[in-house]
Amino acid sequence: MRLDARDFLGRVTFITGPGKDCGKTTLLNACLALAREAGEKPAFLGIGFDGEARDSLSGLRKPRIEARAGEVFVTAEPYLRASRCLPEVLDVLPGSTALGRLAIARAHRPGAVTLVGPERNELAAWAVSRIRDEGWARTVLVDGAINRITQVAAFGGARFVFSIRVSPADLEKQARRLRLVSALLGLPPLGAPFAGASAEAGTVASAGLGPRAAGFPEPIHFLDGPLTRESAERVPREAATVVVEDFTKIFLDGQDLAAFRRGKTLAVRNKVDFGGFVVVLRDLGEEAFRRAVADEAVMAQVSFNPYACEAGGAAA
Amino acid sequence: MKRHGAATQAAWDFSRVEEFWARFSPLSPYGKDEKDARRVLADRGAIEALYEGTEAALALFRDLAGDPASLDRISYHLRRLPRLSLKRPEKGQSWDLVELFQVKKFLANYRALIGLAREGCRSRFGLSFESAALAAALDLGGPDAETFYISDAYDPRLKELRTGMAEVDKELAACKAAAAAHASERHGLDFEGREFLVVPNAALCDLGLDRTAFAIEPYDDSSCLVRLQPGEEEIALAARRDALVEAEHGVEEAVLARLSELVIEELPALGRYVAAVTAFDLARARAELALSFGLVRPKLSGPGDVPLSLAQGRYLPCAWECESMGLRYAPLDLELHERAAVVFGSNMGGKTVALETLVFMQVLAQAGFFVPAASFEAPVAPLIHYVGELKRTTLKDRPEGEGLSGFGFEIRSFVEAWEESREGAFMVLDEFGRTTSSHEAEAILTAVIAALVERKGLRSVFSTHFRGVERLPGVRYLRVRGLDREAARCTICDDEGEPLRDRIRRINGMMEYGLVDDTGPGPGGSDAVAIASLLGLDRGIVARAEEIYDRHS
Repeated sequence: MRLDARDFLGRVTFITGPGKDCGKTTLLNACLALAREAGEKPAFLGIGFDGEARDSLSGLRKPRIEARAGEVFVTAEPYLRASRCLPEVLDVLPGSTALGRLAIARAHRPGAVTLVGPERNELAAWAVSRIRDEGWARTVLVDGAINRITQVAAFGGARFVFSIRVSPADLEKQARRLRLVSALLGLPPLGAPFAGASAEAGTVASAGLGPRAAGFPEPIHFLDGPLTRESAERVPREAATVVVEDFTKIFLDGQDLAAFRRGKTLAVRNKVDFGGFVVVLRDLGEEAFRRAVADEAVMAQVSFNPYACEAGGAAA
Repeated sequence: MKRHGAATQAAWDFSRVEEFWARFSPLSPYGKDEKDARRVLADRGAIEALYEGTEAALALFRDLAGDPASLDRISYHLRRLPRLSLKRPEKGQSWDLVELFQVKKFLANYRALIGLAREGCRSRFGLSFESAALAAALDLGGPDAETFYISDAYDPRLKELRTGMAEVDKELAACKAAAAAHASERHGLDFEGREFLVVPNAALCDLGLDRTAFAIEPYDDSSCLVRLQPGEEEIALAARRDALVEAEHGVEEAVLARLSELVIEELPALGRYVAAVTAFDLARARAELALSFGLVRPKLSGPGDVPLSLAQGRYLPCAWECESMGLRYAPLDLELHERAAVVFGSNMGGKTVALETLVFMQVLAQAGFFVPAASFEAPVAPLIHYVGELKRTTLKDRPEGEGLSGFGFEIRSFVEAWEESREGAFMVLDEFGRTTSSHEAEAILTAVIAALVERKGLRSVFSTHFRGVERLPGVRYLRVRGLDREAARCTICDDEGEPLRDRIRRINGMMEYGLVDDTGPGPGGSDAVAIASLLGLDRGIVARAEEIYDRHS
């Protein structure tokens, strides 16, 4: 699998990862490069503000992103004119942040920009919605942490890619993490009638769930909030199917998840479209990584460092 | 005690006005702020002005009935009005791009609104425009009416600087492209727009990279980061660009200062525009509700004027609830010339709903809304009180209410209302005294009614089960019509296992809602026992209760 512009042109792509220093911003730059090569003028935004000076993947200063003329981005008031890309203010997000009000802007010429995005999911969704509804850009790339997916993923055709950095010291841990995320992504969605808030959380429905719930053992328990070890213990014993909002609300490790799924069917209200894992290896070969993951289905979803150049000079 | 202007929180909650409020939909940020403020007014002139605004908006709706596109555009422009900062920037500071953008966007939408409104509306709400110079200056900031940047049109030097910059950018791009092409053709390194590549150490020697053209740093044990190294020409171009940007920045500062001055001069006018769109937006939203729910303009009299008249008053939260449950809803009619009224009646017969209806109408009317009725006439109350059992806003929830029993809470709630009430206040007391024995409750209730009647200009309405309250002069005694006992007798049959919802529906079908004057002992038999039976109380218990009731009657 290889990162391809066609995967994210014309849609909202959320670039995420398991935390800080997993290479999200560098991956965003790689995606931007691919989009530009394809003749696209994308929009891009971050969630919050990443104040760390250097990216652990490239060692480069971050978050440095070069906007091209016609591209759209979100930043805070003080960074607007400092961006040197002759920004045109297209809209202002409701409310304010510690760094001032946030604006959606379009670059009139090339220039480095500082991404400052909304901290709250609904405002990120608002910004994405404005960009798409007004036709300012059809391709939107969002740089943000995994727990921010839910609302942005509500856009039609939205998907996310998962960036992860692996070294020999954390090889086993990251391999487990990939297998876990892959397993969570495979959870079945309950179907349209139950998406969103149509079914009251905490209720156990025993009958008359309609044709879309067919195949799910009853009674069905709708869990409001995350599925953790503690909340798992509070799930009614009689519940045969447990439904969570989406996979990001599941905080069980692989073992606990497997144990939970032995007794009950686990499903999600909202399925989040997945664009694959982007794995950045350091001091580690691809073969060693493949052996650690030990799951070809997971490996089929993996692409490696988009900056990697194979021996002999050909880009990977 | 928390208040929404002239209405206490308890009165607000009791009348479920919030359910109506949720449907009140101003579109501009200013209208939304006003909605959130939940103001219930006590100034008759101010309330009448809101009614006049609603009338003007209704007239606009009528004028544009054949032109739905214009109505849609009005909503569109209201939605797009941004929130303006009407404060001057600090001394020596200019407004930045964001503020100027907001002003430009505001003026664009505001002008469009003026164009769509009819003359009657424009004069009613003060929708006028006299900031042509500012608008023209901001319109130079890009061809789009709703975006802003410091365009070349503001200063000829900007054009010159930016033309120079574009040339430099072109040359820079050419340099980078040449370097990328060199890397690709000569060394097989294809950057494809990427800032760096990760290259295996083993391949580095074969690539024969020239250290002047490439920056190479270790990445891990087996590979390096390779970046295109800017050449002398590229460095010189970048320096030239920086200088141009600096010069541009200085000119931009001057443009911002000039535009800021213009905006500051227009701040009073901008304040008037904001007030005008706020009033217009609220009136439009009120008129929309008037059309949706068939609301009529209330007739107000001054505080303390006696008559209160309600014809076919629909207590919407209850009507909506009944509709969702498939129940019948009966509107309320009431002519009240007395200062106090007492409502007796059956359980589930609508005593409390009658009180809720009155408070609902009064609160809506004083919040500037038309009301759901054939007609509603009432004096403006400086304060609207509710005393009764309402968990959300009880004194019990407040620290000073700790330790109060149900009775203690009732009395303290009344004491607070009594102390706060002044001439013209409207007070409803729902089943006051319910927490003590009937004999004692009747004594307290009678004394409270007498005290409220004697207090100048105060109107009060009570609901109670205690028929032993003394009949006082100047007080109207009413009762709900009650259960159709004959129908109830016929239907109390084999209904074990009947779902509660169906039982409620049956009671609803047999209940005659509405108020009549209570001139005597009322119909014989007990509605309460009959209703208890309809609600599924054990038949043996019902029979015994009937027997005891008959014996004591």
